[in-house]
Amino acid sequence: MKFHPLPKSHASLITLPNEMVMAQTPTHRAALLKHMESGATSLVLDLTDVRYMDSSGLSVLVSVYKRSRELCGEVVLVSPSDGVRALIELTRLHQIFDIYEDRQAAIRYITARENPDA
Amino acid sequence: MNSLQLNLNQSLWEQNQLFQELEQFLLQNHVHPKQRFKLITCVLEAVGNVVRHGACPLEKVILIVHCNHDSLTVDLLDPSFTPELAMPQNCPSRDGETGRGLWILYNWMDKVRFQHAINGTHLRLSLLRH
Repeated sequence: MKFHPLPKSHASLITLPNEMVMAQTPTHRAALLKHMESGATSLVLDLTDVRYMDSSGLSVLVSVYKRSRELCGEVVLVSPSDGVRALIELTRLHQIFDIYEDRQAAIRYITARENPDA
Repeated sequence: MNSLQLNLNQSLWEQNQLFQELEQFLLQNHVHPKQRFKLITCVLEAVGNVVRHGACPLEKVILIVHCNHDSLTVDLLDPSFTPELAMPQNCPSRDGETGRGLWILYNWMDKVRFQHAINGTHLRLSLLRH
């Protein structure tokens, strides 16, 4: 997982790993929540590299969504594969996450939200 | 019919080798990417269920995948008595962090059958190849 803080904001771009599955989800959840506790209240989660995700991977997304809401932030998703998108839609998580195909558009949205007067 | 049998173990599970083995087998059998993703996801859910609720080491669990021209079948043989998990009536709540595994399993597979026998639990998943 790669963390890239976005300039002049409390937001980060995070590239999720190839697999978001049960064996690794406690580690991924802890890393993401720790990053949020350090000040990144809004996240752009880039799913481009995610080949497989199961329900525990989805639960990590939900944990992050709930924490961002508590911190008055927001989480958006970028470029899920067709399979991951189908999984997100099957479990209706597209109702809580905005999904972008273009990473720059997602970053623009999150940073504008963080700096409405900029 | 081609089959793949895997005797599961902790390292196969923890190092993500399980789906690499499955992916290789399904690729060799020219399974459509969409069905490959569905089958692998559902196997991960089924094995995850055994890891969470089963009462025996993963080393005693056997996974067999059968592939023929019109269907894919998964047999998961678990020597413990994993509770039978019924089809959820509704999609789990969006804010909930559990319960999606069964929803995925029952919605993506054409058939899901739990069978308790004297030697444990047999879960069979079937997916038609369209």
